[in-house]
This record gives sequence, structure tokens and C-alpha cells, in this order.
Amino acid sequence: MKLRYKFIVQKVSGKPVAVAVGQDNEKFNGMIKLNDSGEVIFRLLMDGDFTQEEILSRFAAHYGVTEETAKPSVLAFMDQLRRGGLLSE
Amino acid sequence: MALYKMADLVIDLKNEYDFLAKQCAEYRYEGDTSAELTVCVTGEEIRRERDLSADIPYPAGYLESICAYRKLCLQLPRFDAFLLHGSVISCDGKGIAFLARSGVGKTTHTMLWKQVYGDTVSIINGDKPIVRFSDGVPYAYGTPWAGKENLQRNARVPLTDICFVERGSENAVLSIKAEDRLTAIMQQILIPSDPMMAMKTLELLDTLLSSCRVWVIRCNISEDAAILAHNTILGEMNHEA
Repeated sequence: MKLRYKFIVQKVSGKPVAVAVGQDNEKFNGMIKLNDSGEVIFRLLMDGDFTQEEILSRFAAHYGVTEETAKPSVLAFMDQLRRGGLLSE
Repeated sequence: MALYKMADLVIDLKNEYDFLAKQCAEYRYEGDTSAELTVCVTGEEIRRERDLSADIPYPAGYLESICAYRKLCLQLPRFDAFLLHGSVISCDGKGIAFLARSGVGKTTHTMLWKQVYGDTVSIINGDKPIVRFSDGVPYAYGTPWAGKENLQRNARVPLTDICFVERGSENAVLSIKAEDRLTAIMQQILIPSDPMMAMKTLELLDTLLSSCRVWVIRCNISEDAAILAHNTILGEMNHEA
């Protein structure tokens, strides 16, 4: 599972912002405002090709919480990306 | 070879058509420094631009000009600069940028300031200034591309205030945090598709936003709107936080 387009993420005014780059800039013209936890998941999707379970596990480890605790946020965020057509599964 | 100086950069700007050379005449450079960047528009790029505006038969010279500015602006992050879509004025030494969605009234608001405050207001670039950092200070520059009214001066001003102009029935000037209008701001800058240039652009934008005050100006297109904005931004009145 990874992102459909190539992105860069940069903090602007303290907020992580993702912008599509390269040829994908023509396909996805917007910008995505992330919060800190969204940024963690987004970077995992940028950097690798992980399953949803692997993302959940890495996210939980990052924050030092159980997967059960992390699950709702991770799934909700993944769902938002999916609905936005940004995931390639 | 015709050299030009814009945003304190010496540019080798090639042109196939006279339009571009005439448009940039005020920015000709005759000094000794060699070109720091080259801009050369290809026939293919002009054709592609023509296809994008298929319903309006713009002359090739005009299309070359649009392509040239875009090509120039895509290289700007290498020089700590980027393109801002907004109207920048200089007033009492302060650089004030008016940003707005198309048609909302940034040009009208700019002209109101000029109308009320006359020669104390200088329009640096009414449409697409280059913002460039020098010794950590963001300057907005006049360039030959300044909208259909061509409101510009071959000059620069240090940017101190960024204002979002929005229509409103009552005039108001509100001090805000940049993050409250982050999407709107990002829609008004040119972010190159090259990853390194895109990252650099966002870094520069971040620095710009931390060095300027940011405002929302609700404006009913009257002189009072300009007066309120002027007095608030230039410090004679209190403002809502």
C-alpha cells in the first residue's frame, strides 16, 4: 500500500503540508494539510510499501501506544486518503 | 545577447518575438556581471501554451512572454526566491502585499490606497511580484509582468505585511496567524513540480510567513476600507487579535 502520487512534505507555519511533485503535480494539483500524527502515517506511505497492519504497528511503536489504541486514528486517516483517491493498494 | 536585471538577478532572456524585448525594456542590464540564469522559450512551449488558451487567439509574442515568466519563476528557488500572486505596494517604507482570489478586489483595494494616500504609496507590482530573500530579509520586486494594468516599478521593498482581501459589507482589519489562511496563501505562490525546488519554495514561504504580520482585510470597496487598513497596518489604530 502506498501513495498514488509522489509527494514532498514540508512544515509551513508549523503545519506539515504535502504537495505532489514531478509529473504527478499535473495529476494532483492540490495540497494536503496534515496534523502531526497524519504526517507520521503519510511519511510511512511515502517511504515504503507497507501493509495496513505494518503501518498500524509502526505508528503504534512511534507513539508508544498499543495497536488497539492507535487503530481508530490510523484507519480513519487511511480512509480519508482512500476517499481522496490518494492510495494505491 | 540581451541581459536584464530583475529581482537583483542578471538574466539572459532570449526572445523570438519583439513583444518580450519591448515588455522588458525598462529592465535592461548593461553592466559587467555575467548572466546568472538563462531563459529561452521553445516553439513547442509556445504551442502548448496556445493549446491551453485555445478559445482566445493570443499572438505568439504574448504567449512567449507568459512562458518566459513561468520558466524564469520555476528557477527562482535556486536564488532564494519565488513568485507571489498578489499586489505589493510600498508605503512609508513598508512592503504590503494584498492577496485575494481572482476578482475579489486586490487591484481595486490597491488603487484605493493610491487614491487616498497619493505619492506616499508606490505600487511595486500589481499582480505577480518576485519575492527574494537577501540577508534574511524578504523583498518584493517589480518585474515587467504586472497584470493587464502594468502597475509596477523597477524597485523593491522589504515585505512586512501580508493581507488577505475579502469582500464584506462592513470594513474590518483583523490580525491573524498565517496558519489560519495557509491554503489560501499556498494557492497564491508558484510551487515548481521539481521536488527540490518545491521543498525550497515551501521553506522560503515558511520563512516569509514568520517574518511578516498577516491580516485579513474585509473590504466593501470604499475609501474607508483603505483608510482603515492603512491606519491599522501602519500603527495608528488598535486591531482585533
